[in-house]
Amino acid sequence: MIDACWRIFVSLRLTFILLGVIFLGAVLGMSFDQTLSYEEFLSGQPDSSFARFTLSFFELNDAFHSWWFSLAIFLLAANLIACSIERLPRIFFDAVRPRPFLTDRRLAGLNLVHHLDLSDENMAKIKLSQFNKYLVKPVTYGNIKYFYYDHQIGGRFGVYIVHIALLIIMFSSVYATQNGVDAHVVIEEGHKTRFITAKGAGGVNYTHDLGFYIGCDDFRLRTFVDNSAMEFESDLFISTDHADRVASQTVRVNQPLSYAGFTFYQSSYRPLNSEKVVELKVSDGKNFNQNYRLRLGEDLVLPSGERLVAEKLFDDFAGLGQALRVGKKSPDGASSYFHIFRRYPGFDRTVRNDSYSVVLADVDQQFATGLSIGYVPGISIIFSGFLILLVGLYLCFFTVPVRYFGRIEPSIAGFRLTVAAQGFRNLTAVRDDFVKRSKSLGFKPSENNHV
Amino acid sequence: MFSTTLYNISTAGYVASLAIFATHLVNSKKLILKAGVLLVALSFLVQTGGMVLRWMEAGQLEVSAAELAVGQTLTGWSWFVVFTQHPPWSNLYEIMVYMSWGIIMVTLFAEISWRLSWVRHMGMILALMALGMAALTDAAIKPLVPALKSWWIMIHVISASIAYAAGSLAAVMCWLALMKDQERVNRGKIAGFALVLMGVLLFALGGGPRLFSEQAYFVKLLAIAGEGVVNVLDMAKDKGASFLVPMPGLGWPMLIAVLTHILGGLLLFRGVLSKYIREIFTVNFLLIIVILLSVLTHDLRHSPISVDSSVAHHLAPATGYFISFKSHTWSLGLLILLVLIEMLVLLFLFKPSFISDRLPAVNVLENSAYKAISLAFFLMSIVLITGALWAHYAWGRYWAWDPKETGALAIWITYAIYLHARRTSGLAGPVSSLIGVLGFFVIIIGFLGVNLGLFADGLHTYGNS
Repeated sequence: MIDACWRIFVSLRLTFILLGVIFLGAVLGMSFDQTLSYEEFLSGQPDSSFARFTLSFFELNDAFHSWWFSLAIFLLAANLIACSIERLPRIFFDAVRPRPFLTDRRLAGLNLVHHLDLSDENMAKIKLSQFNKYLVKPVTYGNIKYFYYDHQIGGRFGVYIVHIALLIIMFSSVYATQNGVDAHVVIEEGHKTRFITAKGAGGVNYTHDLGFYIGCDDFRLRTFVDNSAMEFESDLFISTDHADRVASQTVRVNQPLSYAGFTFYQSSYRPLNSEKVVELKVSDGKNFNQNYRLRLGEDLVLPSGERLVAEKLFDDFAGLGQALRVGKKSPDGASSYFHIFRRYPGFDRTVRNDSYSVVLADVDQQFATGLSIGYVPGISIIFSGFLILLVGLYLCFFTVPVRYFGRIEPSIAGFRLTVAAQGFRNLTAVRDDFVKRSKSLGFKPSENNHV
Repeated sequence: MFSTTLYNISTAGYVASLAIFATHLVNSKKLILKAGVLLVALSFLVQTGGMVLRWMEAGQLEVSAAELAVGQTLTGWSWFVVFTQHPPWSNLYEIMVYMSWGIIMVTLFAEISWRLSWVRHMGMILALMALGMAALTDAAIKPLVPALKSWWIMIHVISASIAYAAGSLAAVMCWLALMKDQERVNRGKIAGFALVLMGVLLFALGGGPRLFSEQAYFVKLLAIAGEGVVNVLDMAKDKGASFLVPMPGLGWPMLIAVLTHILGGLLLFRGVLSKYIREIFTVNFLLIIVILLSVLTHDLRHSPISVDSSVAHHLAPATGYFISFKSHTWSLGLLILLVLIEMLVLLFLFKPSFISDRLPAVNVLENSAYKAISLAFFLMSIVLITGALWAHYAWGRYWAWDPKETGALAIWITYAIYLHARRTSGLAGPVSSLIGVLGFFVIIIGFLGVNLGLFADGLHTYGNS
């Protein structure tokens, strides 16, 4: 029973089937919207109870975390482990402790075997070294000399290194998914928060407490002439209950901020329509020169006791460009208003001619910055898996492991030189190379040669 | 844009070389073949020059835009970074041109290494189709969106395009191996497999399951607004509405074609009605031709479409709505591809020796396909790894099961299945070749699935325009 199970788990057919199931899962996951919650998903499906049962049973709203997809991944991992246990030790010992003798029995099992009859043993050695320059150190057994060389032996381990890398990636990904945080938060300029909205199992959102505050001092958007976004960035800061600012950084797309294992990415932004800050320069023309930043509706108090209120902002006032209506309230209660123009800074001083002149120096659109927050425990292990995968793939696809044999033995003609090769991958290339080399040196195919 | 002129010259060169290759099928003089290969190589160089030039044109645009935005002249390293940050594979037009470049490169490599008849023809047709689809998309160079301003785009997109090119040509080789391998594969199975595959593709083109409930072939609606033409989808994007409309009179023929393809294919595959193999295939082929002609007629006439008032109130004022080639670029490309594949199978059914006599041995085709798929698999691994790294640094998640990255994973898995099948007794040969052919369709679904509207929009949607 155990042996039968083991046979199943070490079979390539199981790999074939499991990869097929994972492929099917990928297609299903692409076909059904995976961003919806369970309720949202069901509301968009047919009313048939059978269809609903099927969709729910196979968890198609969250196919990549469904029981059957997870089971296929788990079985594939078991399959990879079993295959490696079954085959790797044999290859390992064969590689580190090779049997160098090209015996008759071994010759019978090889396809690529050529021979050459020579009268001189030294000539045979020279021919052999011309065939492969590494076939020079013989192991003598009786009156027969055996030669042996493993070409690109590391290539034989490529598949197993790929499998090990995949296992590392799979297990660390599962750990990261179970223990990580994938969240989003929107913070208005000048605000901070410690609570973020994270995506949980089955597409259910939950609130996660960071344990510290993430805040946004300022957000800046640069646009192209067609108003599409060229670049956007946020001045972020981290604070705790005990320290005001423990970290700060400007983040933009592709340049995140990392703190305490969390990484904060600039992902989106949202203009706050009612939120604009105007910068005013107020002067009495002598000693008093002061800059103020006001939100619309906020006011400032002048030394004279008068209050100025930023009442309304016009994007284009009568063709004169951006303008601000400023309300003025005297200490005696009288109120009036006047306009100042960003394009004409001297307008108020020359036209209104009051004791205080006001200049509209700047208008700052207020934004809320959208941040993606990732906490991926073990990401370095996943990336290490990628690196190992690359090494394994290199060994798989850019090496051609071949075992070359040579044998010199006495014969009727003097000495018979036999060369043979055992390819482990890319057999066509190995065969072509073998035939080309041996024929150029005058070798002839032996009886068991299949070329 | 001078780069577009170079692209057009190279396209003309590819068309001419395809004609030369076609001539070589009936007149096998080596000189003809050499002339064709030389012309392809020259056109390839011109296209490469066009891509370099487009990179420079895009760089100048980026520098101008950046200087305008920051209000100062860029110099030195900052100029270099901005100038080079917009490679010529950043939007759909450029991706398709680049894809054709990759296909030509792999075709040239295959030609020099293996000299496989028919493969060069198929490679040229695939490359020209990619260029044709590019011609239907907006060729204007637009400033790069912030998410794409990363050096990861270089290796990520380069690997993907060459992998898709290698995979596509491998599928051609696998298909030819199946046609050549008359000892292990009978014609009924070949034709049946082709019909089922084409049926599934038609099903996808018809909008998937919606085809059964709504009998429609959905296309984008275009509108005449002011003096120009706009895509209604763009007009209504902010409102979150989807404005796909059914092309009139096409739903039922599509549904019938899907059913006859799949049913006929299954019957032939099971060996039933194999006496009528030619007739069954011809009927299905004619159905596809009718659909294609109907689509082209609609497109050429710029058929006016009436829009329901419940939909129209979402739209900007327009004097009329219509559909044309630009309403369904990808679907049209796939439809033409489908017709070409069926033409090849038809040729195989009626003139088998015309194809198989010109093909190399089965094992040569299978081994060449294996090498091409090994390359595609390796490059797809690079795509997945660099994509994960880029996503980690740009979006905060190395893997999000986004439809496009899942599509890339599906392609990778398909090739993993192929590589395992090659090493499994009983599966190596025709079965692995079938998987290799399937790989091409997975590439189409994975690469174009989002664009065809088959899957939900994901994080890669900026690649749509």
